[in-house]
Amino acid sequence: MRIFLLAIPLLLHFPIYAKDKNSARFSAYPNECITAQKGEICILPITLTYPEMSSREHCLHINNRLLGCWLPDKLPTDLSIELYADSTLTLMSEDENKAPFVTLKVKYRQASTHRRRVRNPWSLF
Amino acid sequence: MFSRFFLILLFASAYHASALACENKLVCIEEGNWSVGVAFGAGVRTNPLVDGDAIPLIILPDVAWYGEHAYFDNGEFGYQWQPNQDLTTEVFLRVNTERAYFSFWQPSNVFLLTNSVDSVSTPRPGEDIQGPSRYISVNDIARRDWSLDAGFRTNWFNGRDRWSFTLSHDALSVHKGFSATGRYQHDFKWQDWVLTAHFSVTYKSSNLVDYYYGIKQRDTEDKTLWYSAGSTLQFSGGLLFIRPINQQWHWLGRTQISSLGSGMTNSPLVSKRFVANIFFGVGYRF
Repeated sequence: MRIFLLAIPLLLHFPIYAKDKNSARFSAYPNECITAQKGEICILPITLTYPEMSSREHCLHINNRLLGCWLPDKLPTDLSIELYADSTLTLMSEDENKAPFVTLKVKYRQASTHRRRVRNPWSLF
Repeated sequence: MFSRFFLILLFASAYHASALACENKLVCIEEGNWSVGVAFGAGVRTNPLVDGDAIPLIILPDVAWYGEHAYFDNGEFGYQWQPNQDLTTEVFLRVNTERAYFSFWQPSNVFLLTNSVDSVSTPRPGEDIQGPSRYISVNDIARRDWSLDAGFRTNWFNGRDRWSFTLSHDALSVHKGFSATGRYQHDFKWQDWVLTAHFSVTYKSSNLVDYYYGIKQRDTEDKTLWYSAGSTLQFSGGLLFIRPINQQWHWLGRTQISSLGSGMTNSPLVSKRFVANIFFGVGYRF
């Protein structure tokens, strides 16, 4: 059973900006998704901010998978993305060499995962 | 051969380690936290060597830490992957305990407070012993060195059952031998007790057995005592049982018996066919 958990925006975290030298940057907020434990899908609603762009179509890719292509004024500002692990959201266009990206992280609320020990307890001697 | 195998493992597997749904407090540990405990009680690990000191067990430590992949567990350093829900694989480095029989001052005794007990004395003429008729005392032979085992282990879990296979090799080229172990473990509960039973069979190569239990000119000039040990097959069974008293304290018991195999028992250095390991006491978990 797939348990979907709401992404919890971390108010103390600032959005991560794309590694682009343009003055306006490609960014996503929030950029962290929190789920109960590893293996669960995390659904992250994000708000996107775009840099200045040419009038051509631009495409969004998540981990090299195409999400869609839009003209600059039609690019979505709100998206809901399913994350299985840390992922990279990239803004690409045909006429621009640079492809700004943001990293979307997945964190786990159940940080205290219990693991099975390799050796039995009290087995030193 | 082993280094190449480890590299293949490293590059072929990029999975998270054993994040199995693990609820049995006896065999599970919280990731990222140290688990430190100490047990007080009475026990002994017998020594099969002629004149070998049996090892009294008065204080037993239990120290473990598990990260996402790396771990330390009671003297074993390792790195673990979980290819799927029911399978884990780890590479590890640990001290080979074969050398422990040859000296009372083994690491275990750091934690012990008393002198050795129940040592196996040199058999007297006419005395009934289980080993060969010719014998030599552990006190009269050349020094054997400690070694480190480098190996890999794969574990398959099925509910409360665990099957594992371990292959380890002499990392320091002390004896240049290897060993392989197949093991079955079953966890169960009985009233308030949490129990773990295990059975295993271990193959030890002739190089390993011969280094520790072979008798050569370096040990004695008496050629009648010289002995070249062959490979050996050892069978082992044991039970670990724990009953909680409160959050920190619990009753603790451990028994294990291992057969040594003819490669060892035919040695003039060995006077027992079995090694027993018994401990009863109380444990405290910090």
